[in-house]
Amino acid sequence: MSSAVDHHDDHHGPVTLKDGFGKWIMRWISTTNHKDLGTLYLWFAFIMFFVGGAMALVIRAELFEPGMQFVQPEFFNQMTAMHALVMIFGAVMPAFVGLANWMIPMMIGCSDLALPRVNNWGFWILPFAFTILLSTLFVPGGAPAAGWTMYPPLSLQTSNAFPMLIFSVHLMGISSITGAINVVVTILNMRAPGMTLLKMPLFVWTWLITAYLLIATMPVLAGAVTMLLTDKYFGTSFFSASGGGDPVMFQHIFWFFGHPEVYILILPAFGIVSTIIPTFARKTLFGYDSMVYATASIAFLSFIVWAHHMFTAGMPVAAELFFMFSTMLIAVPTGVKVFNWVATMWRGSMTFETPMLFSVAFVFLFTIGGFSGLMLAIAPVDFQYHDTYFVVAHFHYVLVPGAVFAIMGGVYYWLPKWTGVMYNESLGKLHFWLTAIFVNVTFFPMHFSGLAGMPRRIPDYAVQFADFNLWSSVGAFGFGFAQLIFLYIVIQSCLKKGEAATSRVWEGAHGLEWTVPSPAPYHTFEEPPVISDAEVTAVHDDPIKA
Amino acid sequence: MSNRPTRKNVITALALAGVAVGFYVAFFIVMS
Repeated sequence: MSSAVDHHDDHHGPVTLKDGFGKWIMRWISTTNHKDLGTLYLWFAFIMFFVGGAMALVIRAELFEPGMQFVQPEFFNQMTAMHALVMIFGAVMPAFVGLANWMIPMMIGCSDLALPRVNNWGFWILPFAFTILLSTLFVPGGAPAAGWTMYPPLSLQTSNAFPMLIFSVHLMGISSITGAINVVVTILNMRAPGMTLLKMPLFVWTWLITAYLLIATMPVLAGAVTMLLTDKYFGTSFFSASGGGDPVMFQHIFWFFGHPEVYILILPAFGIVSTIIPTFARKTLFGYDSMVYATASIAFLSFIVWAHHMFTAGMPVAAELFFMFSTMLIAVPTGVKVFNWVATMWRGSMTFETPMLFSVAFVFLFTIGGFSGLMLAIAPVDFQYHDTYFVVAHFHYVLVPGAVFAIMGGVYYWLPKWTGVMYNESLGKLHFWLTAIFVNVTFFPMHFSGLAGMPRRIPDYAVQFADFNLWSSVGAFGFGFAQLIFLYIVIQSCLKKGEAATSRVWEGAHGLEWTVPSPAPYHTFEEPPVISDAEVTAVHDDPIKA
Repeated sequence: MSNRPTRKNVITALALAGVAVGFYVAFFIVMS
């Protein structure tokens, strides 16, 4: 089997606190090690998860009952916009990049990402970007309040925060593109000999495809917001009807970025779940090849469905039909994936440790979000659902019990490999059950309030929506406080409190990352490992072909 | 472990960065 090269870090290992606080800080600022940067990305995402979560709780506190309770309407609008920006660009995306940093080199048998210094730069842009974005809460006029979609002409009414918003979005985009380039170059050029593309773990595959999506779409977002900037300050009229421009054009451009962005937020989650389920079902992943092709199909389709976000903005019937059917087509490869996960579990020797619980919940609850997405894809029906809480329910089902559950499952799955100790399984399960229950209490009633006509992004509502909103608010606070358990578990593991983890950690785990000791040495695979097919393909050989 | 990327990796990365910058520039040319 492969031999992990375990440098005992006595000559160029990580600086610890024992070496002095200044040196320790400089280690994190100047590090080019993929494991260090993975840790930084994950902690950054975790902090942003709580910042964005606090904003969500402001929203839910205000919506706890009809009438205005706690905040001014302007501040409510700022919270909805900032919650989305922080969660999408600050929490979910950096969390996936953190997981990619930690795991991709260990999964494909290389020593680091291809461009270590670019990796450092890509991370350290983010704290500046979000300092700028969050500091808009304190400038005259307050933070951006026109939604994360930044539609003009509304967004052009943003006061002093506007250039700060545009600059921070640019910085986030640069960070994403550098991270994506690093991932693509690493996967294409640095796989260990024998690690052919169709032997790569699904997490690596989904990240490769995600990285291409990022490279293709982030410049579009950058272009769109640059045009907003020039419209506001330099006299152009890209989106101003009075100057010959077209505000609806912004929506087309934004969603040409925005819909692939949705898949950027979910494809790595598919990869994580595809890695965890075979381990705890103790079977090979059903239909590995079809998983890869399905992921590629979803990525391709994501470029030709964007206008389903704007059916009500007005477009020719032929265009509505095209975008309706192309959107529905996405259900096919997504269905392939869901059936493959179920088939992997079928007759498996399943156990339900915390990562598996999150993964099973992912399959179940993400599929609910997928189905409500199909409902929204039906153009005539969307005219009723558009901009209601039904949409909020839909995208939170795919992003919270979808993307966030996969991230949490991935953290529990790989945490013993990162820290060298097992987390507290009882606390992990408690965290899971509280999270899974409260996420449904929060978001399921939104389907009903939305179908009944409650508009999104409004701080007050009619009394007939009161009961649904009360449940959603109770659920949101329960969900929020349950995450403190997660924080406690992660901190305990980082402090090395727990039983020592073995190299393989999980009985059914296969892949190169499990052949190195736990915790993973600071440097791994400086000499390429020898690929053993029994190890590498054990998780994904198609049982039908075998 | 050196931080210095190999020539092959730099060329691949520059090609990908060129695609990203190309999209950005082409986008402005189309929209202007």
